[in-house]
Amino acid sequence: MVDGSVFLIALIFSLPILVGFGLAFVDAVMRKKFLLYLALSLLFSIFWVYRFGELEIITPLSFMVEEISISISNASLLIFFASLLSLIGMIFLHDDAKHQISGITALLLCVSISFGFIAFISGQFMIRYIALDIVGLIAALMVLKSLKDQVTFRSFTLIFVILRFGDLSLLASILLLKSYTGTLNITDMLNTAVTLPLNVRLWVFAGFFLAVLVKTAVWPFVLWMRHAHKGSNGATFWVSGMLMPSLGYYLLYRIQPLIDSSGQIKTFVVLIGGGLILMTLLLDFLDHHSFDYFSLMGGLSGSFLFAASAFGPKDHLKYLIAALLLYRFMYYLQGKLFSSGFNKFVTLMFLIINTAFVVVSSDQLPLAFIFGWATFSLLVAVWGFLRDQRLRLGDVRVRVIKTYLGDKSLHWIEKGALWINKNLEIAIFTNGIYTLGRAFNDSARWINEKIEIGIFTNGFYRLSDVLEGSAGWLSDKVEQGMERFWSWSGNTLMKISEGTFVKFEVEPSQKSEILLDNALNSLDKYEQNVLRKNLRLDLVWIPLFLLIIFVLILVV
Amino acid sequence: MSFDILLPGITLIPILGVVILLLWQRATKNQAAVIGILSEGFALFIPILLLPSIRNKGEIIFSLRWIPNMSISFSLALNWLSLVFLLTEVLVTLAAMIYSLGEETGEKNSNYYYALLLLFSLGMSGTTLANDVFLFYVFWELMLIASVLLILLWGHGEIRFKVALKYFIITHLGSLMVLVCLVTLYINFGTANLTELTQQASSLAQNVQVFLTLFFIIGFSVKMAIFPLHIWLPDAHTVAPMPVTIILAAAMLSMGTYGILRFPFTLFPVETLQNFAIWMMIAGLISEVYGALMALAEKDVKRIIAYSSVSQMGYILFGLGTLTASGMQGSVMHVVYHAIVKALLFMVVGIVISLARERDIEKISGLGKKFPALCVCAAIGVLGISGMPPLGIFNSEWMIFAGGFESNISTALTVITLIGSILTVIYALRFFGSIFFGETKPEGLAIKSPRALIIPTIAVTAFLVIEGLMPGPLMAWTIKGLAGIFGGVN
Repeated sequence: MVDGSVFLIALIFSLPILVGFGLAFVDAVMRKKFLLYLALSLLFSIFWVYRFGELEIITPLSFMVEEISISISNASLLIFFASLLSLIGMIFLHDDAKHQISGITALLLCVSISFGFIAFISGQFMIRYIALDIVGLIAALMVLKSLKDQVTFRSFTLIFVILRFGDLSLLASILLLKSYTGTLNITDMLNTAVTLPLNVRLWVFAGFFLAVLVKTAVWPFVLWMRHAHKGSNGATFWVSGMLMPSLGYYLLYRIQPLIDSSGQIKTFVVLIGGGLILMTLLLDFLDHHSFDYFSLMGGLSGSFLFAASAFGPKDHLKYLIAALLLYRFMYYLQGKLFSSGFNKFVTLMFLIINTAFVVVSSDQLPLAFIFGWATFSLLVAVWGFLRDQRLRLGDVRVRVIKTYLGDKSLHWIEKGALWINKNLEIAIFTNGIYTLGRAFNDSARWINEKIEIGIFTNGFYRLSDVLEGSAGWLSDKVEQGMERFWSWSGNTLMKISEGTFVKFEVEPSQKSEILLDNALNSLDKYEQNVLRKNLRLDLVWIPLFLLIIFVLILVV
Repeated sequence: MSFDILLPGITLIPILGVVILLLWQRATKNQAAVIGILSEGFALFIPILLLPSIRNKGEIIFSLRWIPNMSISFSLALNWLSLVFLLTEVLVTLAAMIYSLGEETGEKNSNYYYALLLLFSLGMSGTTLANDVFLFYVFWELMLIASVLLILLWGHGEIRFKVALKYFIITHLGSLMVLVCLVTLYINFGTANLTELTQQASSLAQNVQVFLTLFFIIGFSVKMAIFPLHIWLPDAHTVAPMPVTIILAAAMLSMGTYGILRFPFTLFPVETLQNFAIWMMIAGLISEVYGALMALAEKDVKRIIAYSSVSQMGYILFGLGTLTASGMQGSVMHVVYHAIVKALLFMVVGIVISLARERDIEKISGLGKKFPALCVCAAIGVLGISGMPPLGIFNSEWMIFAGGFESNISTALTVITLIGSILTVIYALRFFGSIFFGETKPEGLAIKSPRALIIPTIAVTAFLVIEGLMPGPLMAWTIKGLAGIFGGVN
């Protein structure tokens, strides 16, 4: 049985790459068809592997002295299956008039399928990380249109850098865990993780969770998804729109034991989930350009999943993930269709998924959680509906006031009712809601201005400016300062050397030359003087006499 | 049949090449290049021949008495650690020599140019192989003198005199610190033999060990261009002719790492080095971030890559500072991968400059469409330096970070270093996007990239990909090479 599954796994990995290379040689229409057939055959293969059940396969390959293992779980196959299902839809939806699938794009798409699959089934964390990194790169590459377009390159950079940030935080957690477990085997690592001291667990969890937040493109990391959505369409958007979030969801699924291991982490995750839902709604309420429909709903469904991962049973979580992935495709479709009727269906689907999850898991969920889950689900459903209707609370308010405070001759009962309505219903409940709404509005505006625009949107650019500015400042002050210091040191050294050289080498040498010259000159002068005088021949007698005396002495 | 006798050939064959070149005054550039490449090729071939012997013995030693009354000998040792560094520097020099053929540098006085390149390489090989501290220092200085002469004689612009002087003075200051340590060791033990010193050095007083370690680390950090001792690097890299820049960045910087591993890490016990661990990690982190920020601020394409070296050396020092097997292994592997990536990126820069006749990144763009092969090589280089798997730097980087976590010195420091690596991605993508995307400029761009430059560039790119996909042999060698560090790393 294992042999059959190994063959199928190898097929699922290699077939897309082989087909991808082949697609370079066919025309755009055929390319689309082949991609469709590929997706269908992969779906069939995954279904077949699913039938083999959960498997752990040790391959003969190794990475950095660590054996590479494959861990087939129902959850990974189910999520990948859901993700591939959406690929079929997205290939259908691909707008050829806007951007045809080129040979390179098709190859990249196929490679992303292969490595996406590896990321799902790898039993070794570093292989999973590598696969995620490659999928991230491909997601970013998909927005590149042509080599002449520097704007799309900026989008590419932004997507790549943000996704890489998530990958690095994932890497930090993997390596921190490895330092305790001494292995890269995912199951062993996560089993050990839950036994570690809380402070270490928090570090590990923080890295993993940050990676999940980035990959699922929730606020504030939604920025990369907006650029990816804008820059690609249909099949090319699948990598960033579907595959990447599904990998993020799966990571969340895998780290659920870690979340489960501590009440603090659980509470944190639920709060983050709820907070993100509110924050997303607030921002969208203020300015519906903050999110496109896809990013909005993606962020919201991701946030629900975080909350579910904290308290929901793991068995049900995988189905929720698969359902939310299909739902993700639905609202992608809604973004394309802009149909009011379809929107109702999408909203209803969201409610059905959430209700089903809470009903099925109700025996294991705390009551407060169920209440919160239901409230937030309704809130999001209503929001989805209102957003589609292009209604704002401001319009509702005007309509309510016109209806209830219009000039009419009224019966006293009606007057009484109106009074109650005016002073209680309108003043307290309705206007109270508006007052709350205004506060909501103001706080949302503040968050939008200060955090979203101020920090995350402009902040990103400002940070880049600050970075460049500080880099420039460092370059000018520190680098040039050091340059000046070294130049100064060099010059001073040169001056000292020069002074010493002049004082002790040049000057003494010059002085000795002058002395020598003077001596030679005086000698010369003396010689000249001597030569100038006439020879005194009378003095010749002196040696002559001395000679005679000497001879006489010798004779005597 | 044992080839052990060939070991001195690694230094003697380049010397023979130098002698031939000095005598052959009328040699054309191609003729001089052939001599240079052949000599370097043989120097590369010998360690490969010696591989089985290293596998059997672990280390091959060749010794010849030189100054007997001072216990100084011409002693060479080839082991797994020196093999990794030796192959790196010889391969880089070989690639730079081949790349030189397509460059304008060395058209005149080619024999001297190639002779100096050989001497530069000889300095590095000798430094790597020396098993005698006196010999080590001789080769260490030969490396400096040859490189200074190359910058002085073939560097760009009048500024080269100043730059060469600055480079000489600053790196020489580092060398003097190393010399102080070597002399102290020699005086204390009366021997210059490194094997003997390794056995005895731990008997030195603790304060002397600490002092020597400090001086060794600072001295070798100058060569590694760690902030703030990096001041010589950007100018030297910018002014030097491109093949020399390639050797400087890709090979010579690694000599600092080798020095740290060969001296303080081999001579002294881990307890002594623990005093410096966190400081090395902090210095590495600062260098990593600072170099990346400078690369981001810089507009000169050559200087961008030069500052990137400051940043990359930061990773290496960080890894060494962890004092763990993973960290140090990652550092040694990073030396090799960095050498390949840096050689590639400088080759790309060289071609870009030769095509555009311009070095300001803001004045060059859109080369991707016109020069696709160059664009692909640059893209692989950029992804490589960004630590993108499966390219090599990914392997070394994660091992360095793993070392950081394993060291238990500071989790936060390791996390900052890890997240700081995002800056590398940013400057690398800025470099690539600015040059290869957008409207083509400047006007009057060359139509074709020189084949003599693009062929070695493609070869290095292929090598980078292969090395990344098959890290096994390098890993095995580095594990064995580091076995001798403070008596075996735990």
